[in-house]
Amino acid sequence: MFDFKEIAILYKEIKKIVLLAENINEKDEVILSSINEMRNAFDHLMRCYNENSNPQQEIYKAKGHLFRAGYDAYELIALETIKTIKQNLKNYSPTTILQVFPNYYNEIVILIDRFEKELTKIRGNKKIDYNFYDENNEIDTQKIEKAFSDYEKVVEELLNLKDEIIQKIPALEKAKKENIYFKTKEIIVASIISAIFGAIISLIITK
Amino acid sequence: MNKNLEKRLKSLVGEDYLNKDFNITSNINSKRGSVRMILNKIYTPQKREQKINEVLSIKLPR
Repeated sequence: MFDFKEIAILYKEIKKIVLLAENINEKDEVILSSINEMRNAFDHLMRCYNENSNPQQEIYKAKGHLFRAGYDAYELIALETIKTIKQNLKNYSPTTILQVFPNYYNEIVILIDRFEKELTKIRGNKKIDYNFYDENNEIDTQKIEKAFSDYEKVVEELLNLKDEIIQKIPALEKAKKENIYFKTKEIIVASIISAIFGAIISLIITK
Repeated sequence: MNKNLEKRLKSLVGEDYLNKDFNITSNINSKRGSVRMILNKIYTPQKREQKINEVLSIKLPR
């Protein structure tokens, strides 16, 4: 008999992430790549009962697939979150955003740029998508575990940032209105001054 | 999963999240035309690619 407890604990963790991703996703979609990785994990577990199998090795491989399922789910959460952040911020000028978020350029932009660079790498070179596999085409659990915990941190930072931005939308709107008011005032004052100057000059010329 | 993320999960799915079914899996055989519904509800690698492009195309104000 094999000890499945360790993998059951990992499975619970991964299920949480997949559920979170499915529910954060605006279209309520199921994530095909996560389903596939979970199917592969289950298959490795069942292979423990095959003749001449190496159960320890099969459990190790199942763990790798579970990590990969969670990684794909985290990616979807991050994508949805960045989309919401960008959609909310695109309506405001950098000046307005800086009034409400003084850390905009040195924290928010850096965080989003960092994640987008990863996306561009993945998009530009599809092979990187499979870099959790070693030279024998087996999942490298150490690599995936590291990527996984890095992702968890980024996802949490992004979710917290999204909450903060949504909370501060009234403040952003207020700052936007104030900026429009001051700009309009400046234009009116400038127009009046130039009209007065124009009148004075034309008076001098006609004299 | 850390505590903050778990709190979010509970607020979205409910306290008993570990006993919750994954999305749509409970509906697969229960509705007519469910194949089309299922296909629309799957986040495929193509949809992932589309989403990445969509996210990258929205520019942050700078």
